[in-house]
Amino acid sequence: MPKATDKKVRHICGISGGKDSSAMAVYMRERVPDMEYFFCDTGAELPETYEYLDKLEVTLGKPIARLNSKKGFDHYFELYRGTLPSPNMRWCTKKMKIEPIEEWVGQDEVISYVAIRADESNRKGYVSTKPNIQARFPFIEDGIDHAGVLSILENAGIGLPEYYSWRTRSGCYFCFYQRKSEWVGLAEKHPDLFEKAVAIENKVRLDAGEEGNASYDQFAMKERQYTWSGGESLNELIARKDEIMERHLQAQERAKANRKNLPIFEILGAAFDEEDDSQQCSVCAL
Amino acid sequence: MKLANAIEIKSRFSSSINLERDTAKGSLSGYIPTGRALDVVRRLAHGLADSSLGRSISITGPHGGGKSSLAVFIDCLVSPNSSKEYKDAIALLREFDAELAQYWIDSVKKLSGSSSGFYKAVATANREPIIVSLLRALQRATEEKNGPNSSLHKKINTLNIEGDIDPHTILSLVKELAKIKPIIFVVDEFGKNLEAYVDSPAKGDPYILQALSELGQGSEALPIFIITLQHLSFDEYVQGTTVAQRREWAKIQGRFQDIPFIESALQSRRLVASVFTQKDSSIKTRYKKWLDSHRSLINESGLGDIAKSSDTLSAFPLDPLTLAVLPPLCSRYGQNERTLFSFLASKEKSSVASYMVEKEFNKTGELEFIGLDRVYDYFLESASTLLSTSTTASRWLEIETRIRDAQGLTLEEMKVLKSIGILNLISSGGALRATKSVLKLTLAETALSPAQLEKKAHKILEKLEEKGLVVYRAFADEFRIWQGSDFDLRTAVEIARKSISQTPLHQLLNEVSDLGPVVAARVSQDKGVLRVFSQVFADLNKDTSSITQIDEHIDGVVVFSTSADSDLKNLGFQHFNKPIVVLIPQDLDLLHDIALEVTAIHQVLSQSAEQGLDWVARKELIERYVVVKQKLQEVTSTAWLSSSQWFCVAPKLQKLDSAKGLSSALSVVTDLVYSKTPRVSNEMIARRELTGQGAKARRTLLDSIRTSSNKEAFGITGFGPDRAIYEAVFRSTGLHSFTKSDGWKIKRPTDPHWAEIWDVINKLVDGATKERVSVSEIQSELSRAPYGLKEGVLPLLSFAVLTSRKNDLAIYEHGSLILDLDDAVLERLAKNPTNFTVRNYAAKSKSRSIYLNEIVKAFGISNADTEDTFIQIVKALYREMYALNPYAKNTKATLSKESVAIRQAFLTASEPDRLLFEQIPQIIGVSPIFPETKLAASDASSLALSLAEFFRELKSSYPRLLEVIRKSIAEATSTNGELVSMRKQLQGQATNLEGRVLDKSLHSFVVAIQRDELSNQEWLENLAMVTLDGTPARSWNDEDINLFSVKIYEMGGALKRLQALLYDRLSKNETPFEAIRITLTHPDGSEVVDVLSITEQEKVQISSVMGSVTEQLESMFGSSSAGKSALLAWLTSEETGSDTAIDKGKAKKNA
Repeated sequence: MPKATDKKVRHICGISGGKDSSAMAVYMRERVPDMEYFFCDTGAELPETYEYLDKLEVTLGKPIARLNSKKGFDHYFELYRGTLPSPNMRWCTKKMKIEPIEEWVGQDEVISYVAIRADESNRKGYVSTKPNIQARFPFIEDGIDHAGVLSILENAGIGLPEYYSWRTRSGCYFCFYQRKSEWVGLAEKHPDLFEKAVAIENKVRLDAGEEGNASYDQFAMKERQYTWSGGESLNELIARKDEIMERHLQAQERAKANRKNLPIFEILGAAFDEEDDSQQCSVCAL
Repeated sequence: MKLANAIEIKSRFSSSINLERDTAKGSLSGYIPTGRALDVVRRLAHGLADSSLGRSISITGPHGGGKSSLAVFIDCLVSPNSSKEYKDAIALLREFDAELAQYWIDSVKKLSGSSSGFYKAVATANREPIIVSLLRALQRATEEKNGPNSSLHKKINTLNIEGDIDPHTILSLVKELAKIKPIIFVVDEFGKNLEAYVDSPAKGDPYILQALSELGQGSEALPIFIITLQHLSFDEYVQGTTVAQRREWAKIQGRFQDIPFIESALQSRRLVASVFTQKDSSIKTRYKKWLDSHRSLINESGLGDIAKSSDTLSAFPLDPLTLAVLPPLCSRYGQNERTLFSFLASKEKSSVASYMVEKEFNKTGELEFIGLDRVYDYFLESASTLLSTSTTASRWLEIETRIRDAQGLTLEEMKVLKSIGILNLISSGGALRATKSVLKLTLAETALSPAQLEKKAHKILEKLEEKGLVVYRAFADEFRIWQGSDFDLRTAVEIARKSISQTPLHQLLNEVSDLGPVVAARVSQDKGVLRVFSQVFADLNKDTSSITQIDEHIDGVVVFSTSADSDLKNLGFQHFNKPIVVLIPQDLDLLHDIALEVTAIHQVLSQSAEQGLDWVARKELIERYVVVKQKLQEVTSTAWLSSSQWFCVAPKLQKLDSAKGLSSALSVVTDLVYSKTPRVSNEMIARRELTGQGAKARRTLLDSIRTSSNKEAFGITGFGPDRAIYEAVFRSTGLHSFTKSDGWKIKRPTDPHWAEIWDVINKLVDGATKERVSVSEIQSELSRAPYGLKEGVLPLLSFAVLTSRKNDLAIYEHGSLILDLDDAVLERLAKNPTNFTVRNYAAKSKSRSIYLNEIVKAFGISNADTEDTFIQIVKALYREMYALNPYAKNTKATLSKESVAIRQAFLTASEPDRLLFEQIPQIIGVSPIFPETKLAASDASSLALSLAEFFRELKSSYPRLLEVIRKSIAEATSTNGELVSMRKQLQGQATNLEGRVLDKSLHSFVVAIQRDELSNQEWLENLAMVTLDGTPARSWNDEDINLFSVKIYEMGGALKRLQALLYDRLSKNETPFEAIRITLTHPDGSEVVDVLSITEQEKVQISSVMGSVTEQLESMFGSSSAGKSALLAWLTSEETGSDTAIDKGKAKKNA
């Protein structure tokens, strides 16, 4: 049964800080003039992401609603007293992405534009289970693929986010889905963030005020050490960074040898795929 | 013809007897007096005839042995001669032992000379004093209300069984009765009276029993008979009581003849045989023939004696083996005769009776027997509930599991397997075990020769062994399903015992005895706050430090002292702020032994399979462990809780009354120590850890306090859990109340206990003017004695105070000032008070308030709701600072040094008072404002106005940047004037270029110019960003401005040139083209810059012409690149000298 239509349907487009969702935002700006753009801020994004969002806002000529700004990762880290998110307990996605979106949408009828490309139509993105949120996939509908996305961003004059030179995903700097070579990249590009990630791994929030760092070692999961990256602590990982990067470069070479004249981005992606030491978070990556 | 028609089975009560119920019915149907029963009757008959031969009998035997049935039988025998039950009973007795029947009749006659029977005082005891059971029995015996003795009967029946019964009254009444006719007391379940006596020696005094017994003895003996029936002997019941008690019992026991009521195997077999009545006489002959033909096998199996007995022939359809197995099986795994009779006569599936109903009886040929497999099936299906109670159930379970899992066996193989199972169950190294001969017997058929039988048995056993179902144990000469264990449990436990024999008792006990916490129930109820004490064993003469190492949430400690002689005055607990109660026992000898046993078994259990502890042994050990552990608990409880002395040793020494139990004593202690605990009348919040629902309600409530502390019920609507907590903590205590002047407000509670809590918090906060006080410090003060509040309510209280004083308090999280106490901060505050501190700024000195006042005016700060306090003002200033975009937060380009310094001060300060009163004045160039500083109003005003002016400068820096940007663009693109007209001009130019620009950055620039939907400022910002490689202006730094002016100059130039090219080319065609900018530097240093264009089509045309030329040049100059270089040199020297197709007017020449 159709609902009473006196209520306006909202159009929303989520931006993750990655290329696909950004291109989606640019792509939709003339097609749906009253689009509402939003970004779920975890408070733990890469600085490049925040810069890129600034660019996007200018391009879109519209503010991007920052959901969640008061309750970012640090907030929940303190509430959960050091219980870190992990693939098995992904409270980060729930608390910092899904719940804020659903709260922001409320009971409104909403069409959500999801940035799954035509060349990855078998991928599953986060599609809300709430009945009032409908999903649409314009890139699939219009056949826009990877090259299409790149050209949309080129044309808008903003290009790719800077972190794409060393990392293929948006999201938190300590995302446990990132690859080992990406951790090495973080350590090189943002030593301060890497240090923070190491601290969090040890249930410590760095620089928490003048009393020093806030440690939650005594609380949740006491005496159980979770590591961000499978099988080793970050310190152990970085100790063998040469080995990791060597493998990464080899993979990159092999990928290059197989495919010619491709943009660096794709070469990097292929190399990452070959390394394949991580998974994707279907929500954050969109 | 069915077997049931050839053989009759006597039905017999197979369920248990209730003496009081079943004597009333007087039913004897199916009862078979066993050898033991006849023995009891004989002894009683002796007693009837001669008082010196004993008139008190105690019968001891296991459950299901037929004791109660015997009591019913005796009850019938003492009924009046005219009654049916008497006649039935005598007839039955005569049937089994005619001589005894006659003896009985004579003895009764000799005793009373009357035929009116006995007073039958029959009772089944409950856990009650013996005198109560006896009185009940007497009242039953004298129910008859009419007749000559009615007044005496009435007297007995009016005695109050609930009240205190005087033994002498009973005795005198019994004497009266005995004059009328003989009395027989029969007390079934007498063990319960004994247990009651052990529980409470004062009440269960057995004296009455002794006195009654004495009445029936001696020269003037009265005809009073007593029969008690119990499961264990008197001794076993009274174990664990004091020596005096035991001595008392010994006296009574001496007056009773104790008859153990256990049937021998022979008797049991006779009993079995007596169940069957064979109507077909050929059965016995044919059975005998069968026996004869298997004689040697039977003898080898050790069943020779059984085979000789006539009972065996009568017991058909049971084979001799089954007959031999049943009695031990029933006594070990069932309830003796009860189980035996169920197997034989009940209608349950697999019982003998059901078998006989179904089975055809053939009148000639070989007899078909019921073998052990049937027994197995019955026990498995019908009796498994009995088995679970047996102490050797593990053996049964193992056998059952293996047989159930056996797959692909023939019927005969299964029969052998089940027979082995049953034999294993009863085997204890005796003759009857699963030897090959015995198993051959289960397969015996007359048709088979001994050699054939041997072959068959061999084949079956071999297969069972191959399948791993049975093992032949050579040392025991038997086949086994039950693996048994080679682990020497005894030795292992003994070794473990030795290894711990020196360990102090309290350590042993703490290791194995889980005391758990205990609650002071009464006081918990009173205050609504659960008071929990931990319990620990300790030797107070040794190390006592572990006693005080308890979880902070525990309210006190109960010490089970293992030393009886400690100096309680000097235990060193005076600084421990929680109560400590010490329990001093009297006697610990028994305990030490049990504790050793439990610990030893526990240690052996922790051994691994490699050390030989297989699962069979483990199972057995676990069973033992459970039993001794329970025993340990009992003994522990007796030692410390029943016969012990209790003291409170901290905070001060005091003896405690142990009469009302531990919980009650702890309540007394709690009242002393936690004397100022306010009552929390809501169970949900009065806890240490809230439930999910409670936590949610508290969160909602906290947020309501934050947003609506001036509304009734904090604006909570409805009556959910949050409202319930509000009512309990805020409304009923007066913490939130209404007055006309103030409206709804959080204030000092009216409830005195709660008011004290309020004062504690405020006092701590008041003191925090120099140093911050941590919220967790405030809360832990409240959770300590004498307040002892639980964590659940603490966030509410501390937050209520913070809210009510928000204007003069600053809250810090991790040392950083919290400007907005929003819901997120509140959530963290409730969860981690430890991260939060509070400081009290009493910014009320004259100079400072003047200054603050001027700031309010200069900045136009106004808060409708609240007065403009220091913190509010600071927040307002910070909000302005936060609102600056990154450029404004960063730039120094167009700012005064004061603005830069002020901005820096705001970005780095952590103490707002130092910032506002000291740093800012210094930056502006005046003296800091200390409380004692004298400050003229005019100076204050000018200071505040300057500050506001610098803020304005900061805020306007971005608009100034945009103006710079606009000017640069206008200049670079040679467009003029204002933003609006500039935009129009550029858009006009760009329209024609759309789709014709191949250069990426220029393309983006052209697209950016064409964006119509943006406002003018947005358009300008976007253009600036696209120009500067996508960096938005609001994030620029000062260097970016210079970079931008260079870039926009290039971009503008390119745009202009492109424009010109376009006009030129448009006249020729519409094809997109690539523009190439070239710069030529001549030997004289002069340069020519030019823009050339080429379309794709032109490229193709030129290639076709130049193809052969480049090949020639290559051969001429030696390589392709050398050839191309020469060509390029030639072209430029030629081209620049003459006119070209390109409009040279647009080229830029640098001299």
